Amino acid sequence: MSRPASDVRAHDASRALPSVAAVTAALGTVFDPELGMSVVELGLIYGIDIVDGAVEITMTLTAPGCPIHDVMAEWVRAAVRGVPGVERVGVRLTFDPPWTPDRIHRHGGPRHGPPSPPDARSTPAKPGRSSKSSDRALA
Amino acid sequence: VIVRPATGRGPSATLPLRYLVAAALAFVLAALALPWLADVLAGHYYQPRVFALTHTLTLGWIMLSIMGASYQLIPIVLERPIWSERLARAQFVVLVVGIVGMVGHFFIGQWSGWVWSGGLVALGVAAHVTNAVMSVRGIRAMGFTGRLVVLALVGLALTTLFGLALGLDHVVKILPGFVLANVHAHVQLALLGFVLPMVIGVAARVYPMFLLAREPAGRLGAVQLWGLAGGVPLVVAGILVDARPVLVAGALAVAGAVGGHVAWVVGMVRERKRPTLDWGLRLVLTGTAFLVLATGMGLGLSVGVVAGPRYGLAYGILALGGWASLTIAGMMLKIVPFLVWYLAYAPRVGRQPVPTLAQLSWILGERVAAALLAGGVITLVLGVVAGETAWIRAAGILTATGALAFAATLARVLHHAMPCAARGLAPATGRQPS
Repeated sequence: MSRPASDVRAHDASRALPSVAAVTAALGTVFDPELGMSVVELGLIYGIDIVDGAVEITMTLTAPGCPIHDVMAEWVRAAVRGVPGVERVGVRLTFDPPWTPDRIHRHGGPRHGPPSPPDARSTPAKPGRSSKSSDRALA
Repeated sequence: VIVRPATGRGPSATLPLRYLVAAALAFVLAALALPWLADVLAGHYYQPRVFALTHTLTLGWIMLSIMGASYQLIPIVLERPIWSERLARAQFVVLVVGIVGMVGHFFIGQWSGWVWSGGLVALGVAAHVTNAVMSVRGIRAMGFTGRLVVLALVGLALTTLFGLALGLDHVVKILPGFVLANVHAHVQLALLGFVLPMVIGVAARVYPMFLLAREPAGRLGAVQLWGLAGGVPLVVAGILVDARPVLVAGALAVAGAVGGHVAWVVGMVRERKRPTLDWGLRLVLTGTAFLVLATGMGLGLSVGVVAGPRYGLAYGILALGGWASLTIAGMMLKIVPFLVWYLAYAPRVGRQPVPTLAQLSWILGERVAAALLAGGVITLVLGVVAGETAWIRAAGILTATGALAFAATLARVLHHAMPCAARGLAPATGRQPS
């Protein structure tokens, strides 16, 4: 027996879309196996773009020739896919700007993961809107 | 959607791993032979069994581990794919057979039989040099590391040709000059022409990755590059033509290069973001301290402050057993767990929890290996300088125990790669993506 169309619309409207904070928390479970630090602590995340349920992560690696490109990207994708409200995950690897150890921040602060703009820091994105966090955007 | 830049593709993880495992076996074999050869080591170094021991170390341990690490690191450090994995696999078999043959014939003092095995080693080296040169060919920006790697490949090729000529010289007299001078030149060509540029070149890119420090740059790079490019030919020529001023000039240039490298390492350690140093990195840094000692003794030998076969052998032990061996052992404690993690756990990433590399390692084994190897080498140097068989035997026992602890540590790591199929996991392809 199918639900009435009005119930489906009500369900969609109440569905919580992912927040930057929730995505950042999920990224905190992805770690560099050699260093034992998360991609957030290492400052590898350059940006988080959320449009409805689609999340695009812009990230880098500690070295361009790092042999675990695909592993890290897949790991990031799997972690973010588990965040409630996420429907699609894209991972864009970039080496511009190149990563430096100055991006490491182990104990919180502005470089502990992607700094969130005030409008995306604590509020989940509204349906049909996008939220964005990017170090470069703030630079 | 995964968008990634096009960079050099890594080889199968099993390719560098086979080189590194074979190298570790050679290291253990050489260390186990030390107590047994204590009487021989207390005398002059120009003896077949000392040649057997040194070539187990230089060819079996040092050269194979550098080749294996090259196949792992060239795609990372120089961002170029390996030209031919098939050639690298065939080369491995040729080298292992050749090295076993060479060491065996050295041991029994059979020079005519030595020729075929020396030829096989030369063939394997030619394959490696071809593979490495073709791999780095067309690189956009050679940079410090690329130039030092090319310098090291030239040094490896010349060392091999010179070594082959030395071996043939025992069958058919082909080399002019004093035989010990030829041997010394061969040793310096191997040590300063191949191992030193390779290690300090790769260190400039790899140490910052492990220490989480900025990549070093500046004039000290030029000091290292030109110190080796100019200094090593002078050292070799000075030895061959018995010209002490030429030798001293070369030794000073090489010492300058070493000074530049050490300054870079100290700078990286000071500004590192890695909070604690694991035992692999501590071994690497201990190796660097031995490099300073070896350089001091090398300078002393060149200017004549110290002289004689005992000091010559002590210099070789500081350089090969201290600097090169501890550096390689330390790097192996970093590279082998990564390769094993990649084979055993990368396929499970994102689907279930996976360990860190530190969790694969056996910290107690690493600690025991580091302490015994460093202590063993220092004792061995003192024993050789004193010419005391009992000290040398005690040092040999320390070193052999350290090598066994090192092997046990690696075996525990390698164990993680074994039971994949038994646990019902999807077997890893072993293909390293980039």
